[in-house]
Formats: sequence, C-alpha cells, structure tokens
Amino acid sequence: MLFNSYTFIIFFVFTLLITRNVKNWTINKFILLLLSYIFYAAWNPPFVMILWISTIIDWFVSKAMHKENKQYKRKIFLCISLFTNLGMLCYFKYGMFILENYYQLVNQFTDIPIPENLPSIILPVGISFYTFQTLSYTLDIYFKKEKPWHSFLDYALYVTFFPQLVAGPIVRSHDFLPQCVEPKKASGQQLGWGLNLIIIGLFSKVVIADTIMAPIVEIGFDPHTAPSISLAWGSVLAFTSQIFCDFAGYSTCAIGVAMMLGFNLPDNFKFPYAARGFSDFWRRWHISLSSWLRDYLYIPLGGNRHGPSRTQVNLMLTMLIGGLWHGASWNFAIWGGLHGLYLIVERLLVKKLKHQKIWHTFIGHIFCTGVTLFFISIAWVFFRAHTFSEVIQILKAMSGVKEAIVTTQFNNNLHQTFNLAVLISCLIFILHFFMRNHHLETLYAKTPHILRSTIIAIMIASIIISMSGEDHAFIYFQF
Amino acid sequence: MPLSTSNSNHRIPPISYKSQWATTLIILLIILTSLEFSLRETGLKPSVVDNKTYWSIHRKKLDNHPSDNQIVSLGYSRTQLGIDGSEFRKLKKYEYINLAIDGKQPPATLEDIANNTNFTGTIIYDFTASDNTPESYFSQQEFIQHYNQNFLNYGYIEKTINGEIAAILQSKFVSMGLTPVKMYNRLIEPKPNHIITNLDRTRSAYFYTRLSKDQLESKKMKYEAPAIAFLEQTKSNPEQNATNENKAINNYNIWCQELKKITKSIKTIQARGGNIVFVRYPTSGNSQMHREIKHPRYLYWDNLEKLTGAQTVHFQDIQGDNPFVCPESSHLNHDDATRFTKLLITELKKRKIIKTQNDS
Repeated sequence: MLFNSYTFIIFFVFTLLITRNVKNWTINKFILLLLSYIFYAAWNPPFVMILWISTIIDWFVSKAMHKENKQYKRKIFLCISLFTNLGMLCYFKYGMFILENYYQLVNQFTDIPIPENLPSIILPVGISFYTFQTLSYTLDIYFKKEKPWHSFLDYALYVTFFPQLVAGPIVRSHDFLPQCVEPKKASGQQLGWGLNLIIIGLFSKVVIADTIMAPIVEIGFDPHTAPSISLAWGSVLAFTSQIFCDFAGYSTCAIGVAMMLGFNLPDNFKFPYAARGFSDFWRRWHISLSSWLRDYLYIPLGGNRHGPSRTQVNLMLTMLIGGLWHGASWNFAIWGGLHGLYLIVERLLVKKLKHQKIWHTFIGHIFCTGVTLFFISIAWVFFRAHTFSEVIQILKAMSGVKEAIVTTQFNNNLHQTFNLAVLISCLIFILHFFMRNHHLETLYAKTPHILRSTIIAIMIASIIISMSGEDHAFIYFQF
Repeated sequence: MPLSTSNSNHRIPPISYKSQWATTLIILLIILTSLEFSLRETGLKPSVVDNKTYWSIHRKKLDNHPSDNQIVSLGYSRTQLGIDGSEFRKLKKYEYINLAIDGKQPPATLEDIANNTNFTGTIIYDFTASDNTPESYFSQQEFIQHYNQNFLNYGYIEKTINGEIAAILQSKFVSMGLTPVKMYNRLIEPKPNHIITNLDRTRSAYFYTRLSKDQLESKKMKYEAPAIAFLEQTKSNPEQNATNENKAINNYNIWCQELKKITKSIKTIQARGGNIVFVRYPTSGNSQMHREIKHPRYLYWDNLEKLTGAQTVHFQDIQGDNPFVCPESSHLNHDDATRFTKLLITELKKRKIIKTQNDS
C-alpha cells in the first residue's frame, strides 16, 4: 500500500479510529500487527510468509543464543539467522543478477549460449529494510549489547510496524521495543504535528518528485535520446532533487504516521545536500542505513583501529556492500565504490588541509558544500542509469563531448517543467545550505500562523490535484 | 521513552494545532473551490486521466470473470472516439470493456487475450489495412508488460480501488489529475478541452463546439497533409494511378503474411468459443481517399474475412444514406460516435453476435 494513495487514506483513518478506541494495550498492539500484515499483503499476500519466517526464526535463534555460553554455539545460532535472512535476500534480490552474470561468464569461455528466457523472480517490497532491521536485533544479542525481549507480540510488531516496514527508517530494537511497554495514544500535539509531517512528505513525493522532477529525469536518462549539455545537467540536478524528495518524503510520512499512532521513529535525513564533505553527507543521508553499516559492518571489520591502509579497505568494503544493498546491478556497486573512494580521498585531504582558515569562512563553506554536491550528483548518475552505456552517454553529454539535438519533443508543458525543475532544485540546495544546523520544526514554529496555514493548505491542494491514480511507487521500494 | 537518536517527537513545535488546522481547512476549501470555478470558467470539463494503471484495471476484468457476455474493444484512438460506451451499457446482459490505447495498434493485446486468458466473449477489433505492419505489432506491448509484471505482482486490488476512486473524482472535478504546471497553463491561456475521457476509457470529441474554426482546420491539416501531397502527385501524373494499383497488388502478399500472426490469436480465441469482429471505423475526406488508393477495399478489406475466419463490419456498409463525416478526417464527433455505435450494435445483433432476449 502506498502512502500516496486514496487506499492508504482509508486504511489509515480506519487504523486511527480503531487504535484510539481500543482501551486494552495488548489488543491494541495485536490490531496494529494485524493491520501491518494487511498493509504488506496489499502488495502480494504470499510475501507475508517471508516476514513470518524472518520474525519467527530470529525470535527463537536470539533466545537460544542468549542462553548459550559457548562461543562456537552462539556463532552457529548467528549463522542460522544470517543464512535465513541473507539467504532470502540473496535469492529474491540477487538471484537473477547472479544467474545472469554466471551465464555471461560461462559464455565468455565456452560455446554455451546465454539462455533467452531466464526465470524471473518477483522482488518482495522492502525486503532489504526489514531484513536489516531484524538482523540488527540478532546481532545486538550476539554482541551482547541487548537481551532478548520478553514479548513475542512486541517483537513481531517491531519487525512489521507498517509505517516504516517497506522503506525505513531502519529502527533498532532498543529504540522501538521499549515503546511497546506503556500504552500509546498520540497527544493532540503529536496528532497535529504528525499530520503536518505527512503532508510535507506527500508534497515532496507527489508534487516535487513525481510531477516536476520525474518527467525531466526520464527524458534526460532515456537511452533512446541523446541529451544536450543543458538537458543532461538539468536531468542530473532533477534526479538529485527527485531521489531526496522521494525518499526523504517517504521517511517524513513514516515518521508522521507513526507519531499519529503514538510511536516515535528516528530521523532519517538532515538536510543532506548541505553536507561539507562525504562523511558529513553520510551522517545526513539515510542515517538509519549508514549507522547500520557503521555498527554492524565497518566497526566489526576493524573500523579505523588497524592503521590507515586497513581503514581505507574497510571503508571501501562497507560502501561497496552499501551500494549493492540498493540493488542487484554493477551500477549500484560502482555508486558505492565511488562513495568509498570519495571517503578515502576526503580522509587524506582533511589531514593535510583541515588547519587552513579558509574552510571556516562563509566562502569556504559554500565551496565545500558545492564540491560535495557536485561529486554526489555525479555519483547519482550511476545510481539512476540502468546500464553502464547510459552512464557513459549522460556523462559525455554533461562534459559537452557529445553536443546533440534532443530527439524528444519538448512541448510547452515540458519546457516549463524543465525550468521549474531546475529552479526548484536550486531552491532545495539553498534551503539545505541555510538549514544545515537547524530543524524543520524550528522553522515551522517561527513561521507566522496564517503563513504556515496557507503553505500547508497550498501543499494539500497541490497533492490533491496531482494525484492521478497512476502507480508512482517510491524509488526506495525496489531496494 | 527517548530514542537513542534524534527524532521529530522531541521537537514538536509548541503551537495550537487546532487553530492551525481550522485555518488550513478554510484556506484549502477556498483554494480548491476557486480553482475549480476558475478552471471551469476557462471552458475545461472534467476528464479522466487515462494511464497504464487505469488500462490494467480494465484489462483485469477479463481475468476476474471471463464470460460469453463480455464485449471488448481493441484498437486505438478511432475506437476510443468512435464508440459511445453508454450504448453498450444499455445491453443489460453484456459487460463492455474498452482496451483501446491512443496511438497504439492492438495485435499484441489480442495475442495476450488469446494466450493468457480464458476469454470467451466478443472482441471488436479496430482494423485499418494500412496499419497491419510488423512495426505496429508490438506497439501495445509496454501496457501488457506493465500489467503482467507490475500490476499483477504488486497490489492490483489496492491499485484498482485507488485507480477507481481517482477516476471517479476526475470525472466530477476539473482540477483533479492536472499537474500544477498544466493547471497554471490552463489558467493563463484558457483553452476548452475538446476531448473528454470517460470512466469506461472511451472518449467523447466535441470538434464543432469546443474548437475554433482555425483550430479544427489545423487539426484537419495534420491528418490530411500527407494524403493531399499524395493525391496531388497522382493527379499531376496520369500514369501514377496504374503504378499505385500495381504497388497495392505487390504489397498484398507481404500484408497477408503479416496477417497470419493475428490469425493465430483469432483461431485460439475462436477455438474456445469466443468471437472476433473486425470493424473499420469511419474516416472521411482526403485521408479516406488516400487509404483507399494504397489499400483498395476490394483487395484488402473484402478478403479479410476469408483470410482470418473472423467476421467484418465496414462503416460504409452500415452508414446507409447518411455518410459519416469526421471533422478532422480521422475521428468521429461525439454525436456521430453515438450513431455509429447504435448502427454497429444493430449489425452485431443482426448477425447474432450480440444476442437479444428473443435469441436466448
């Protein structure tokens, strides 16, 4: 079920009405769990079984692991959890990718042709998110950071809680499970602000990402057209904004929905395009994933504790795996690799340059933000393009090597949308720059009552008129 | 319970939300009402936004409850503008489903229905001899792919409910389904919409009442320009007539080969009790003359039934003494679409393809 659908509005109003009127907290949690399964089953009912398998196995494995004192037995339990969760992830997400690459490799050395009709595997929505979430619970118990939770109902709700089930934020058990102890009923403030967050999130997604940015990105990245230099840059800028508005829009909605149910989800974005450097970027972009990778991959690999060379290897490995987490494609691996490279170069440069005063001036800040944004935008090309040849095509066009006529007809509407997309992208970057050390809530509270109400009313009106009934899934649902 | 990381719950702006939301609702109502009235003032009428998801919702009806009483239209814009769905809905026993797609020829959808459904109803297939080409065969394939890979695998029930609600709202309110950019353009440059998409995906065209003479003329030129150039060339060169006829005869065998692909699908559907009727929708003026020279009826259309085993209905055979005139030479105006649909239904009843109460 998509947040940006009429069906979700009906579903959520129903959920609010029920959960606010049921007095018994255990029954309330049970209803929330049931509704979360319905929410997930709305995509493809059989895939609820994957959630059940993941939930049940991790619950029992964690309990058994906690009771066990012998390290090798604890490792066996950990392997069962890893094998189950990563096994399902590998099968559904990387099965086709592995098979295709295997056939291509065999084909390189033998006469065996690549089969024309390889079986297709339907990817369960959000599998990477809930797999990582449930794994964090098992890993925390393995590392003895946490103890197994006492209530299976709470744990199942933690894995399945619908606001963040399919696209995060990836919540840690120690953040969510304690919230299940005391009865939850959102206060008037939570209801009021939660609804604002949902509107802001939906506006980002439905109006900015889908209506303004997406058409330009589709034209610029269309493999059948040769984009001009301006279209290539425009579409890369548009994608830089689209991916943020789409994903941050979802996270904002998820936080708002959870808040209206009385639950508390962590921040997932902090004005990421204001980042001054790449490590700063990863502290602001998809925070729940980057902190997951840091805690469960980078630090166990040794982090920065074994000298500069090993740190660089660890950084690169973490980012490569982070890239592949997004999808089964070499382009995602390159995207991750590029970010790994950026982080390594940044570490080397910071050592040499950090004491120079220029970096602490306004000009220095603009320069650092601009350079970071530039390289991040270049990396987004790998993220968005479907094939490597598409990457080359757009990078060539951006560098002006291939100045070609756009074969796509730019009608009046599209021309205006292009200008609007570039203008809004610039406004987003400026907003991020000035909001770097602030929160949306502060800005909101400072805004005069009538202006605030008018802005939210315009946002709702834009959402209503832009909802065409077409299926615009969130980009991160495929991950 | 505080989270280990920062979160919005700790920063909720301390304002009065009751008064904020009350003000927001009042402003929202003012915005939506004034937008709706302003857009209607520009001559805009409510129209459903047709897209792959909405097509898929209609396509799913063939899988949900296949029956002898389904009538399906396949085709392109001439079908969408040439059929008045309300006339089919008057046949209480039958369910009318429109799967025509603007600008895309239907062979791939026919193949999909033949191979992937248990369809046993009647297909009304928009057939124009000149469009039976290898390039046109897969032109609807992207819709079929969307249906099979996206719609069916990822929440078709939810998408159906969502799509139906959106379509109903769009059929009632002008402002629904427009993007902000389109809306802005509509407001600064008022232009009535002369084509309205209905809930059943048929379209109603109002060429005479909602287009100016100049606009209609320019649309007509778009369709007729190649035809006029071709006819001028023929007129200036008397030998050209014979050449044209020879070309038509020479192309016939290739055309028949292409037809075999469609015939395969027809046989599959007929074998399980379904019907296919080829319908030639009205065209007029220079476009019609051009088509007739390139693909003469006696050679192409009149052999279609023999070649495919499917029945055929040509508009010229049912229009009687009152020939259809397409305002821009290629599509029917709404009132003529109603007349054409009535005549088509009468013809289908006469041939017992559509059964009346007496037949059953």
